[in-house]
Amino acid sequence: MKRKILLFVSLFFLLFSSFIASLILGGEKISLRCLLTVLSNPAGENPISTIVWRIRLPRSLLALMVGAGLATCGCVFQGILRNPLAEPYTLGISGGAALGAVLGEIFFSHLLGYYSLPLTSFLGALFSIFLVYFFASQKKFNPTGLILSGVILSFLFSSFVLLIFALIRPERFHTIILWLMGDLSAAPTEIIRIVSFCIISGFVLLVFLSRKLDILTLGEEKATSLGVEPESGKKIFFLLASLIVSACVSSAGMIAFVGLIVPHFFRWITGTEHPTLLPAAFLGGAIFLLLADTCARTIIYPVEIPVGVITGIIGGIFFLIFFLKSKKWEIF
Amino acid sequence: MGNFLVADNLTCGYTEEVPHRHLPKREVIKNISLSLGEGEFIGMIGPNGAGKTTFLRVLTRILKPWKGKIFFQGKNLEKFSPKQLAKEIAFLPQNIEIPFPFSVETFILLGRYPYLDYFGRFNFQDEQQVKKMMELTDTVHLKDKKINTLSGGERQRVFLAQTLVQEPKLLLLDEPVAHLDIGHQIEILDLIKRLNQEKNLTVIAVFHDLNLASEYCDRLLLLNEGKIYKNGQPEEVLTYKNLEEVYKTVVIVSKNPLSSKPHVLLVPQWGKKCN
Repeated sequence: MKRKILLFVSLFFLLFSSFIASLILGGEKISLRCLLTVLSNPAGENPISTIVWRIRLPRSLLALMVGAGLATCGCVFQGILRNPLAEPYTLGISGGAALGAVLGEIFFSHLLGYYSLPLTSFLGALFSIFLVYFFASQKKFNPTGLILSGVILSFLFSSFVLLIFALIRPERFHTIILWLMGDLSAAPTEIIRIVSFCIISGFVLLVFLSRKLDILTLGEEKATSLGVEPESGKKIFFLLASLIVSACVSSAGMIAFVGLIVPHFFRWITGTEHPTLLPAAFLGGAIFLLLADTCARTIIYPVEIPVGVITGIIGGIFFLIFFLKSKKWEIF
Repeated sequence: MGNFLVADNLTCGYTEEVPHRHLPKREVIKNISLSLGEGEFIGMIGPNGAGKTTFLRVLTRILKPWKGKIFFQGKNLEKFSPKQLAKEIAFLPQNIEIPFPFSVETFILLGRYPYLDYFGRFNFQDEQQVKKMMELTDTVHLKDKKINTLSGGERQRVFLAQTLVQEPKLLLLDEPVAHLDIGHQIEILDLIKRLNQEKNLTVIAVFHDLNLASEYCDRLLLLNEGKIYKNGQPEEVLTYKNLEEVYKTVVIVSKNPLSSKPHVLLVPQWGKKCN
């Protein structure tokens, strides 16, 4: 219990400091004192105030939310699929979102403007959730059925996306290509608000149900004999987590590795009990993506690296070291 | 015989994976009727594919019966809510794969799930119950170990502890001692028998080892091709005639000199001259 409290206190502290760091660092470095004066006066009209309130704060907030959402959903998908290598994109949500985004760019971008990308990719994600749900239901929602439906649809959708890229000149899709690599800069403030609301409320529900997730990882036979109906249980978790992932993807694109690495790391730190794991991964994912995004903005300024590339590189190396060094790594 | 658990004309099996296309259904148990009394220790024996595991799955509602009904303590099994049923009937399946390394204590605590509140929090009573069952199954010293680092015997004791904290009235075991050495086999079955005698826990266990079934069970069900071939005391069921007919192999039935229960000896056919 003491260990848990210590863990969460330090996670909150880390989250707070990385949030501050993400506001201070960047092309224009802002001192801590300056940041405080700017933050205490939202209506300020100087350039620093604009940078903080209009650019950095929304972006940091989005990074925090998306990181938290993806990491939590990674845990949930690993749990219901009973597979430690599952991640938020395993079930084809990203493919559907990408196809939605591309079609939206062709047909609706002149109507919807800035909102085209988030809205159409969200619809695409919903479409793929619907299809995966339908196909997996045919197989009673067993893990293999779910993974297969997800992977098949994912391939199918990305092939369509590539087909469209091949047919229409690619310059038009510049924003979409950035988005495909993970892009936290594009989302309008209203979208960030809605996404934050989705992620937080989804997260609260998931934590509320998390003990059921523990039982589901024991397999269908044990789950049934412990009083959890496996099929309906998995459906609830699938739908909740998928909606969160859709919100993340539609606002920030495909940010790789957060949903795989953070859950792994915290399974190792906190154990695999979901009532502890989910909140820890939520905070950890937020910290991870905040730091990654700060790196992406600052490392080779003024060029901005897509945050998905950073998470991929940091994540991959981190994963490899962890995998080779740690003897307590008992997942594989 | 009694009315603790009554299965009435039960038929069940598996459909092929794709519904909406009427592929042939595979009937595994056929018109089984059975009744048992509280506190009995029943052994289910029979060749592979005879329907032993399927029968246990129907009793835990993992499978729905196609035909027939089950009454548990006089109430239709379908009328129980999932959690309610989990407080009455506990099931230890044969192969449990745990993909994530739970610690032993947490793992056993999960057996208390049917008793938890909406938030899934464990209270003092849950922890007391777990402590008691860990002492009973001699797993206290494993408390902080990870489940995937245990030996076969330890693992089975931990799994058993998890089913016992459910405080069931009926315990269903699917080959509880398969893959264990003889020392661990006796240890686990002694424990179950003790609970059966002292706490009046009703047990239905599937056995492949006929001699263990003979030693521990009050009554044996010999299943063949989805039907009850013979239902009775070990002496009535374990006869060479019954066994040779069902298992299609030659056996000799003698007696355990200490318990005077039937003891089955196998007779290899290899190297015998054809007469």
